[in-house]
Amino acid sequence: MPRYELALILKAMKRPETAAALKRTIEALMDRGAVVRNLENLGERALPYKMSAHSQRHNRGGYFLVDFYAPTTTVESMMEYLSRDIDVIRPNIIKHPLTQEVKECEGIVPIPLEEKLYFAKKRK
Amino acid sequence: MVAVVAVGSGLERKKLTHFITATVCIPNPGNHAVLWRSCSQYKQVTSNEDLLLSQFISLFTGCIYGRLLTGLCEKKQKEITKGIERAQIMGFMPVTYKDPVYLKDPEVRNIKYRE
Repeated sequence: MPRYELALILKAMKRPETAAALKRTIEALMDRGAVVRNLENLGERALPYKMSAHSQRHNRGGYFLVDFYAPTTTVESMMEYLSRDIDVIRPNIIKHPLTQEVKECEGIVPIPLEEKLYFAKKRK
Repeated sequence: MVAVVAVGSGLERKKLTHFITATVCIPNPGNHAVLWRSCSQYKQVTSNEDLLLSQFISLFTGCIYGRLLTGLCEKKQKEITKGIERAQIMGFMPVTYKDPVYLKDPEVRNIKYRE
């Protein structure tokens, strides 16, 4: 099962309510057959710009990262569920960045410009 | 049973580590030409790292610097652009300006003024 990362921005709420919201989302994830691996809290901070969600404007939010393994078909239903949740400002599921292959970058390769000066193909 | 434990102090730890990687990549802010040629410095560009991505953004307008200014190779430039756009949409980085927290970072500019 491919590995996904959920970048979740929750409304700025008090601790028990945030815990309840997180519990709800993770239980919904597990209902759809996902295996939750880790939950990180990036802290509550001011949003980079004012966001409106569910007819409310938000200035602050709690940032959470959930990485989980899930079947590919359930990602859509998960996004739908998250968009319906009132406490969630912005949900985003992306492929986990650590699973991407890191290719070696050679840097800028110098191109011999003299070859490019004249047209290589022979004109008829 | 789901035990939910919010891991605290995540933001501070992440910020520290990313600052360390950034400073390792940029030991001499004076010599830009030497450093930015090696694109392999930026191994992986994730959309969560504000520190790395905010360097390639203009201070007051939030424009992404082009390849002439950053001096990166095609691949890395594209990755960084995509990372910036993603981070802006996902709500990690401001769009119209550069986050004032990252003002002190060395600038990524290849501009040569005529003497």
